[in-house]
This record gives sequence, structure tokens and C-alpha cells, in this order.
Amino acid sequence: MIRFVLASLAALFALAPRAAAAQADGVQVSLSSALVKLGEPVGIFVRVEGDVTVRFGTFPDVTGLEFSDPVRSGTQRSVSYDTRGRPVVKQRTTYQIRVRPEGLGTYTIPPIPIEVDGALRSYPDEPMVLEVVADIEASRLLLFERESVPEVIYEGEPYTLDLRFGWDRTRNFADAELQLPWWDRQDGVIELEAPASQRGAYRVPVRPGRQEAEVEDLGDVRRGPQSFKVFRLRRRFVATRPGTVEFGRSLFRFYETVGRSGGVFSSGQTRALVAPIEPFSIEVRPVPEEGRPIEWTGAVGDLSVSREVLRRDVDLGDVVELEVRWTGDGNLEFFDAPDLGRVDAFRGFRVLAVDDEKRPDERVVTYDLVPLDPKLDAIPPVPLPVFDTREERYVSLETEPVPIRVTVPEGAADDPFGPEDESDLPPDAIRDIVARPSERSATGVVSQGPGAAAGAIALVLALAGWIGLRRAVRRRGDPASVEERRRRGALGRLAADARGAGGPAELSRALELFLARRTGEPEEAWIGRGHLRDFVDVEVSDSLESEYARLRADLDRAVFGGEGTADLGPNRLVRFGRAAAQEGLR
Amino acid sequence: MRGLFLSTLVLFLATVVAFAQGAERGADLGAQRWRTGDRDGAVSAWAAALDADGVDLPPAERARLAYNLGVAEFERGEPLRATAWFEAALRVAPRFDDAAANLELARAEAGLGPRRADDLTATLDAAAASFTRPEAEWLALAGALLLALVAAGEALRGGGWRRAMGLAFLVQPFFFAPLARHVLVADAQPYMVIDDEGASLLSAPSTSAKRLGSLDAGDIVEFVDELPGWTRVAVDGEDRWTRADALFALRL
Repeated sequence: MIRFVLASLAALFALAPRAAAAQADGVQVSLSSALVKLGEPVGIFVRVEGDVTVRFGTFPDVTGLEFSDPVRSGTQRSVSYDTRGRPVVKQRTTYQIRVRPEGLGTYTIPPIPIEVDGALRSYPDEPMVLEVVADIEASRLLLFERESVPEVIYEGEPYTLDLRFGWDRTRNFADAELQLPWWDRQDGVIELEAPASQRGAYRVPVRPGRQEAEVEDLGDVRRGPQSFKVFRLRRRFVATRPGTVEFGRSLFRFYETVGRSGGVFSSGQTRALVAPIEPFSIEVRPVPEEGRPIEWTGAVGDLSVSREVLRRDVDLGDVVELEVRWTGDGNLEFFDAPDLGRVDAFRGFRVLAVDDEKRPDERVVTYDLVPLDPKLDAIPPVPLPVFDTREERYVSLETEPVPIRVTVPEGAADDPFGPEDESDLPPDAIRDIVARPSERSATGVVSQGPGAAAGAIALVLALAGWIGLRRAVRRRGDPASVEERRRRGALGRLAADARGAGGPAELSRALELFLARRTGEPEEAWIGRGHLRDFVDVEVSDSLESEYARLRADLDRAVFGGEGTADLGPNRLVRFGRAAAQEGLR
Repeated sequence: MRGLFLSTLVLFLATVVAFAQGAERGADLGAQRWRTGDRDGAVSAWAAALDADGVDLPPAERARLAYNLGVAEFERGEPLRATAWFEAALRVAPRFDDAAANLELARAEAGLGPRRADDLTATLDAAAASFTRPEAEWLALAGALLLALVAAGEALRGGGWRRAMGLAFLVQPFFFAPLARHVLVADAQPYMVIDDEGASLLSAPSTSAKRLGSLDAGDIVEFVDELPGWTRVAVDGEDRWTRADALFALRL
């Protein structure tokens, strides 16, 4: 470890003077660090003095290095005063170019062409040297590995990518991420759906981009004396076209907490450890034309098939459910299920329905078959032409035949699908002429319409009438308010209360409640009022006024004096209420 | 008096003969000839009735004559012409079931697809087209009256009537769509291509004119103008000339 640090420092000192060489014309180009561990960020800084126009030329091509576009990262201005006391403004603009090394080694970066105020020059004078070394500590403390994948596959053949990553149990976990430059960026590759249980319940950030991947917790894994906390990222893919599927260098970046926590708002200092998986690729070969059956519908892989029929003793015309299940390592989701209507062996059956269910680990197709012939004694094998990737040739995968018994029920016709009567016949014959002249003048239910404009005029009138009526009504208040609804319901309530009244006192209360609801006043306000005119908002007629006065007097006599009159009953109250409502009492 | 007697006798004898030959009671001249096997005579009679009376005939009768002519063309082995006649009949009588059934059969025989696509737009269009013009006018008026009724409720009572009025507004397109469709096609003069080989679209009414495209058999285009032997039609917003004998006027 000490040797590594000393070597790193020596290299830094040796390279620093060259890397940070300043140019005489105010342009300074340098690497952020001349020695980096694989996975650590590294960049080229370009600092330009003065208020000048800067343009970058074409970057040199360095094998194993990728350069980002220059990004202006900041401008500094400083003001000083010369010996005469005059202000001197200095400006410095900094550009940053991210550098991504693909692997370990020493890289020489030639001078970069930069145009400053129209003058093109390359900076710095000497090439920059970047050394990328392995993170020895990370290789000891981190685990990042992949299960082997086939080097060659066929188009349509699925493959599984299994990455495992973890860290030494003794390390303080702060954060972790995967840097997978190929993730979700490979052309001609489709990810196969996997059951949620296999994808895992944890999520890990995936760079570049801001994606996340579900990973499975494998718990503790021992490697020699060390114990690692390990997760697995497992996905199945299928290549849809020939070519090469490239997997660039993958990195697992682990952040551990070092030192103490910085308080409530800080989790303390962290440091990053990076472990790589070297680039690899898979060659995708096309499925051969030679020997390809006409019926082949795209099935590729090492598949097996089984079938199941629940009911084997059926009547002629009954449905037999044949369930065919394909499993194995193949493109189960991507081939067309056999069309039994085109298979000669199934001529004696009619295929009523097909239910095709695609699951991540199996393909289940259920055929509803109807036997058309009582002589049938078996459901023939269901064939599926498959390109067998193990044998590298086309094979026909067939189900076992299923013995069945078909019974003809009494009175059944020979053809269970034959027409029962003429009306069921398909319209394969032209319908006859209509011989008699039509007695009706119209072809519909009416012969004359009101005119095309009638509907439009009615619509306009309806809207205009609505606006006018609405305005007029709203002048007296909102008709949907509680008071208005009470006022409208007052007569109904009066009738109900009066008919349910047990004596003059309840009749009197029903009348007071009616008047209160109509006028919006409290019920108690109408106790003892002998006339209407001073207490209502409308002009009431003399007859209503006098009827109210008589009614009130009769009710008072009956309630307080016990002198009831013969006509003092519910009907009289309802008559009064109706007259009051007609006059708009409010 | 003698003339009247003779006329009555002739009519009686004609009726007896017609019955003897198997024609239905009240059958028209074309139908009587059809039943006797005189197919050409039947076609002449129906075509003459349609041409002579023209638009004065009630729509139902026009549709019937066009339908019978379609049946005759189909029996003659001319499914494209039959398709055009049935299409014409359905444009007058949109709920003429026999015409609709025969149209699909004739289209299939002519190698054309179904009359309408099996999607939502086609279904809605078919629903709107199933109303006759008078029915569409009454339907629109009914929609407006429904709105008026609900609007009155909303103005007088408010509350729940407001939602009802919103709903009435939303359903207005269903009431007015059939009428709008009729108004839009009121002046249309659709023509159908009835040549098995289709029809060339030319820049001018001349066989030496520049060919600008073609129409397939069964295509329906809009009439613009005509010259002897030539018809000018609108195709994708452009006017083109084509042979008149390759087209069939669908408007009866």
C-alpha cells in the first residue's frame, strides 16, 4: 500500500510540471490529474486569460480514450490597481473536457487545437500523459463479477446476463451505483420479461443517465476469509438481428463513509472505490436458411413441449380443451403458435378459439377443439418447427397424441355446425327482387321533416330563452338556495303537517311553519300575527288577507279558548296555503 | 262504354296471365317480366320507370327500382354494376336490409372489401347514415327541444338541473350528427368506378392527355363536370378527367 502511494506521488511530481505548463499567450491546458485509478473522474482544464473568443478544433484521436465536448465551467474577474492607481481588470475563463479511459494503461494525449481570437494553436506545447492504474484496494474490498455468457448465439436465442456486486462486510456503506455504458443502449436487443420475484426488491442507480435497476439481495457470500454483502443484477435478453452485441467496461462504484458524521445535515466524508468488469461481446448469428421448414414461425432455442386435456370422453360437437405448454431456454414470447386450422392432421376438428398466454418462463396455448367426426379417436400431435440451438438444426417439436372418444348423441345431425334452419344460412345467395311498387312514400318512419333549420332555430331559441329566463329568475335570488327550496316545498309540507296534526295547536304550528318557509322569517315570528300585509314582500289580495285573519282568529280561539269551529281542519289550511302560493307569498 | 269494357277485359286477362306465369299480386311490369324469365325486359321496365319519373318518384320506390336493377346486374354476372345499384339504393333508403345484404355479397363477388371498415369512425358514420333526411331533421329538433326543456329546468330550479343541462349539451352532437351529414352531402354527386380495370385519371378529356393517376374499381369520387364521353371528378382535392363509361352515378 505504502509502495503504491509513493509510486503515485512520484508519478504525480514527475508529470505535474509538464501537465500544468502555462503558455505564454494566456492559454493554460492541463489534466486534472495525471495519475488516476480506473473509474475515477478525470478531465482536461483549459484556462484562458482575457476577454477573448475561444473555439476548439478537432480533438486528437487517442485509442482507449473518449473526450466529451468542452464545457465552460466558469469565468473569474479580478480588479487590481497599477502603480498609477488605475484599475486593471483581469478575466480568466475555464473550460472543462471530461476524459473517459476505457482501461488500464498509459495514454498520451497530443496537444489540443484551440483558436483564440482567430489565432489557431495547439496547447500545451508537450503532449499530456495520463496513467490509469487499477484500484488495488477496491479489488480487495469490492466484489464485481459476471456469470459467463455464450460467445456466440443465434438470432432469437435468449441469453442471461448475471452481474454480482458487493462489498466487504466490514466497510461502512454510504452509497453504491453501477456504471453500465451498454445498459438500455444496445440496438437489436430486447429484454425479456422476468417474474418480479427474480428481479429482486432492491433498486440501484445505473449510470450514465438516471436510471435504476432492480437487483436481488444474495445475502452474505464468503470469498476466502472475507465476507461480502452481495447483490445480483440478472436480466434475460434476446437478440433480434445478427451482428455483435457489445458490452463496454462496466464499473461498480461503492462509496464508504470515512471519518465522523458532520452533524445533522451531513453524513460525513465519503470515499469512492471502483471495481471494473472488462468489456466483452456476444456474436449473434443469423438463423440459417438451409433446412428451414415452410411452417417455421420463428421459434429458436432448446425447447420442450407437453400437453394436457382434461376431458377426453366427449359428445360430437362438444369442445375439447387442448392445452399445449412449451418451456425451456428459447424465445418463448416471440414465435407464432401453430395454427391448427392449417394442419392437415386436424382436418377432423374445428378450432373454435385459441387462448395464447405468454409467460416469462413458459408459453401456454389453449385450443378449443370441436371434433367433427365420431370416428376420431385421438387428438393428433401439435407440431412446432424449432431451430434447435443445441443441435444447430431445425427440428419439429411435437406433442404426444391424446386418445379421445367421440359419442354421437341421439338425434344429432352429422355436422354439428350445420344450419338448423334456412335463416342460419350464410348470405351466399342474392336476395330476390322486390316485385310490388312501394306503398310507402318514405324510406323511413316519416316522410316529411320540419326542415334543416328547425333544429338549429330551436337550439338557438332554447339557449336564448335559457339565458333570459335564468337572468329573470336569478334577480329574485338563487332558485337552488336553501331558502328558495324551502319556500317551494312549503305547501307540500303544510299539507303533510296539517293532515298529521292532532289538534288545533299543531294546525296552528303547521300554518306558522308554512308562513315562515314562504317568507324566510323564523317560525316564532308568525305567532300571534293577525294579518299578512305588513309582514310579506308581495301585495296580497283582500280575500287572502281576510281569509288569513279569519283563519288566525279561529286557530287562536281553538288553541287558547277551546272553541273550535266546524270548518277548522287540514283542508282549510291547505286551501289557504294554495291561495297564498298562487299569489307568490314570500 | 264498349271501350271501357274492352279495357277492363284486357286488364283482367293481363292479370290472369300474370298469375298464370307466377308473378305476385300487384307486381309491377318489370317484376312480371322477371318472373317469366324476360330479364332484359324487366331491366328495361325498371330503368324506364326510374328514368321517366326521375325524382318525382317517392324515395322508397326509387330505392326499390335501383335494388331490382342491382339484382338483375348481379344475375347477369356484373357484380360491380350491381354494387353500384345497391349502393345507390342504400343512399336513398339507408335501412333497406335486402339492399345492404346484397351489396356486401356483390362487393365480395367483385373482389371489393366490406362497405364499411370495422372501426369506431366507420361505425359512427354508419349510425349517422342510417337516418333518412326527414328523420334526421326530427331528431335534431328533438335534441333541441330536450335541451330547451332541461335549460328551463336549470333556469327555474338550478341545482341538479345544471348537471342535466351539461349532459344534454354533450349529447347534442348525437342528435345533430345525422342532419349535419345529410346537409354536407346534400349537393354531392358521387360516382362509383364500375370498370374492373379501374379508371385512369387524365389531365384533359383526351386519350393522349397526361396520365396523373388512377382509380380502382369500386372507388367513389365526386362529380365536377362532364363532356361527351368524359367526366371530370374531384380526387384528393384535384380535378381530373376520366372515361364516362367507367363511372356510375350513385345519385338516383
